[in-house]
Amino acid sequence: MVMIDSLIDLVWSQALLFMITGVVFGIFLGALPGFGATLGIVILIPFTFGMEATLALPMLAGVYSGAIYGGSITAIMLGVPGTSAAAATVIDGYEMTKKGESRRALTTAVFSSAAGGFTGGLLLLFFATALSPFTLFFGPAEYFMLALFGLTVIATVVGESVLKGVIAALIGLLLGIVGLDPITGVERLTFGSMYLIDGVPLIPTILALFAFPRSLELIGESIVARKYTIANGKNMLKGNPITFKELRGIWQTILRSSILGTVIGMIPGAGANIACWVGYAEARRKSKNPEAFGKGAFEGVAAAEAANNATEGGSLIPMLTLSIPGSSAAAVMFGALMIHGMTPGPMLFIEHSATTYTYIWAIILNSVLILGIGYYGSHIFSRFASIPIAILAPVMLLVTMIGAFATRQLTFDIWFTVILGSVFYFLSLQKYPMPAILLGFILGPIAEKGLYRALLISHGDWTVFFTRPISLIIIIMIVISIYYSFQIKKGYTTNNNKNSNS
Amino acid sequence: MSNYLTEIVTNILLIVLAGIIFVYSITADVKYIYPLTFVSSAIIICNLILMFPKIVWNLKNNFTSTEYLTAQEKEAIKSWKFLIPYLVILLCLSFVYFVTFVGFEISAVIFMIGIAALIDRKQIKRWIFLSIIVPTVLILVFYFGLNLRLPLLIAELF
Repeated sequence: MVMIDSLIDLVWSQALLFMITGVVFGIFLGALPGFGATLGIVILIPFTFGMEATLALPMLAGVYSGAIYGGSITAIMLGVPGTSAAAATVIDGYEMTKKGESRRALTTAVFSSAAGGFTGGLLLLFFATALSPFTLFFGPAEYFMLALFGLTVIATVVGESVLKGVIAALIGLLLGIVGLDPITGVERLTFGSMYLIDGVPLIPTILALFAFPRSLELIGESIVARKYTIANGKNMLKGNPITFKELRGIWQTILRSSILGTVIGMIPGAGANIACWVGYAEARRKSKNPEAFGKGAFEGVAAAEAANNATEGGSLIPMLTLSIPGSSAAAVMFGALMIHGMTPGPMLFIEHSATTYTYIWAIILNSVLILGIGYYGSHIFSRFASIPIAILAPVMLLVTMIGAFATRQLTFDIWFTVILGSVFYFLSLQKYPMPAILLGFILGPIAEKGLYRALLISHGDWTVFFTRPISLIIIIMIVISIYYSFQIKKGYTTNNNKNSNS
Repeated sequence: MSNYLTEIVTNILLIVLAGIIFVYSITADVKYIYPLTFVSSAIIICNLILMFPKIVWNLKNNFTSTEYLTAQEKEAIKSWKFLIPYLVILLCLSFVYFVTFVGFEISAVIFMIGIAALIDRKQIKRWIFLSIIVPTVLILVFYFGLNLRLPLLIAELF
């Protein structure tokens, strides 16, 4: 009964207006490279101090949902993921834009984001208590294997050269090693800098990986290819929106990615960054037309977007029930709940049931709002793509440097972004895949911590990875994933040869 | 510089960088840094595997390959325009250096004019106007709107 009352209160109150504000603000921030859900919530928290929890929490939930979706707009229109969760969307989304199908890519992203968010929210609402014990079975061995599983995804996302993909992933792993050793506390590659003790900062690294090289590439293109705008023609929103028939054809992909996203979101540390890649890779493996992936397949956009948006609900399941945030944005939300006098944990549904259900309903309703705002308004957020490169590139560079500064408010982070970005620009010119670097960087520390802890617990016994059932299941998944990756690659090469012969 | 040369230079630079890290990792007092040893040695091996076939192929072809450069790319190389992105990197570094002395507002305006001059010198007057407007809008959005403490000269003075 409390559940239904909370829904009615939410719909028939001014909370709806706050949710719309939150979603619009979230989409706006998500569309700006480097300003994701975490930063959006952090920026908005001070504005919610004086508000009632039933108004503040739905608004913050709106920022969370909006920002994850918003990241896809620039990923599709500019080839720059607004958030790391949209890194997989770039692969096919940007290809679609280059082919003049930006409207189809954007509408695919809107529908799949809404579906992913909705599914994740529903699972959060109905299965929070049932699913949360599942995460308790995840020990260090499972974390290590899960990270390893993520790394095998590299084999499917790299472009022409597998070796270049592996080198890129190793560079990512190297970046992930910087900082204190997770067990011994020994400093590694910090060069005595206190700014690197906590490791390489995530946001400046993401900006250096995607936004900075992309800006320089734009400048290079404008000079070499004499391109004056990011895309030819004034009307950037090209092509037709996705049809109902097309959507019906990929419902299984969306549902699978949504469920995968929710489950991955539940696992602490493995958030939308990983979910988008896993969702994408799974869709590619299951697809009847896997060779189309990477060349502008709308199914790829749908898979990545459904998975990353579903993680919001998933990451909140262990946070609300077990006080374990599933992602950095969930960790910030943890703080926001505390500010409003709600301590996440088993007692939350008893002591603050009405407010908690209001918050969960807000997550579900935000998906509906995204559908409306995104469908009719995403082209407004993407309009700046038709601005001349002479304006766009320096603005992107300025926003990139502000974004690097924003998280910790340190000039060091701007230096770091510019220097690392220059190196990545040089590497991207030679077709080293940037997403592989990001994947190595994110998964490296997770794998390392898991490996260390698993071996510590088992007193150095390596069989721990094969004797635990979940770990063993993930190992089987890794083997299958590698096998299918090579099959896909082989099929792709054969097709290419056939085409060139004919 | 041809694609072949840039790729070889990149491979060598990565090998040198990984080599330094490898030496550091095996000579360090604490042996708990073995992930560094593993990752750096893997980078060296992968780069060697990537580099050698290229060298052998080019030796066979007597270094005569011009490697699929487009006419536009060849023209850009001749006119040194390909260096502009690297000049932009220098501008970025100067921006970060000067932002703490002259503030975000002035350094951002100079930075934008600098890039516009590099990209489109013919319409520089038009870009000067926009180079003042854009940083102003960014300051309004981030400093006043989003409460981000950008290093502004105005804030320092008043």
